[in-house]
Amino acid sequence: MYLECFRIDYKLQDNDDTDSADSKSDSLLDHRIVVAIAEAVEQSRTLKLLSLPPFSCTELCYEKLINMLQRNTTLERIDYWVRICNLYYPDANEKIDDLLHLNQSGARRLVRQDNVSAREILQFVTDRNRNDDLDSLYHLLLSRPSVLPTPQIERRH
Amino acid sequence: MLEVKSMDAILDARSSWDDGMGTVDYERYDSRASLDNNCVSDDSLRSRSVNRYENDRDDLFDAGVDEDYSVHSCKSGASCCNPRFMEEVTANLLTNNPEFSRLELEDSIEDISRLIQAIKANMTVREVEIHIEALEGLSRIDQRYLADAICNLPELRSLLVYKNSLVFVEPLLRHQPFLLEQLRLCKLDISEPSRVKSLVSALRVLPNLTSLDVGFDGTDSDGVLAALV
Repeated sequence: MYLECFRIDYKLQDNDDTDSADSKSDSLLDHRIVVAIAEAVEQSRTLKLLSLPPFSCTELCYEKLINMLQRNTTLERIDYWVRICNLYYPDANEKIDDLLHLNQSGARRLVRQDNVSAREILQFVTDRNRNDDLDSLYHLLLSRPSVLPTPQIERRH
Repeated sequence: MLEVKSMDAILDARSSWDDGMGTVDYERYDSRASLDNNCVSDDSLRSRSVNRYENDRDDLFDAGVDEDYSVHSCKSGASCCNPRFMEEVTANLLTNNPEFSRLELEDSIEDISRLIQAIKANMTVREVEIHIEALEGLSRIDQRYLADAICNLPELRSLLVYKNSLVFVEPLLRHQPFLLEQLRLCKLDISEPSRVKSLVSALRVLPNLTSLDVGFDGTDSDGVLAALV
């Protein structure tokens, strides 16, 4: 199976009393579920989109997702949520978003790939430069400076 | 990401499936063989459709029209419970109208037996979308017959079920729709371990699945966790 998109949702118990401690914990994503998903997704080389249930992520969830993204270089988008006044909005986490952006641009795949041709590097640099994506260029140069072709200087005697 | 471990595991899951309805005689609505123009075996139908897909696929991609399916459904200003409109839908299904590639059931169905017979005879529908109201009006047994017919559509590539999608798991496992790419099952109740096993087995036998959307309902965190690990 070559999954590119995986969305999961489940309904939590309805709770009218939103102020109680139980209802607060119910609105947070069970980190065990995130761990299970992260472990399943970590090795995938086809999945590009992961959508989690619209419940607020705990700090532990963020940590698990970041750990997963340290290894996965193909996932480009994760939908996760924050709860504000009983409504859920797309959440943002700087570290997660940075890693996803580098996956989108292909910088992390390029860094880890063996036998990268000079042509591929040049194409990547040109594309990223054209798109003003300096973050990806910086990541590439910082992580693997040797990928850039060295200029051949001809010595004349 | 997921791999088929063995056919025994699949057969195990199939035999252990239990949603409280017992065994169903799936031949009851099997009209495909009895139709004069479609009197061929299921195997030959499947292989023919697969070969046709493989031959046409590149052309479709080149032309950029692979995703551009025409839309003919119950949603086009009419209701599934309107006998006149359903007549048109079943006629399109029975005649294998090549432009009729999307079936959307969004209202209670007037004549379920006739619709199931028409679906069983069809070889053109690629996308199926079933709304809550369409299944709510059916008995549990008719839901299973309908699910069985839909999952046996030889050209099925996209399936979206908004409610009671559990009833589609066993037919998916049984028919293994080869071309299915997008699967969305909402409000799945997998609170029993055997259902979890069947769901996982069904997902494993869909080789071309690229998009999976599952929504669990009536299932606690532990049940969801059991389905994921």
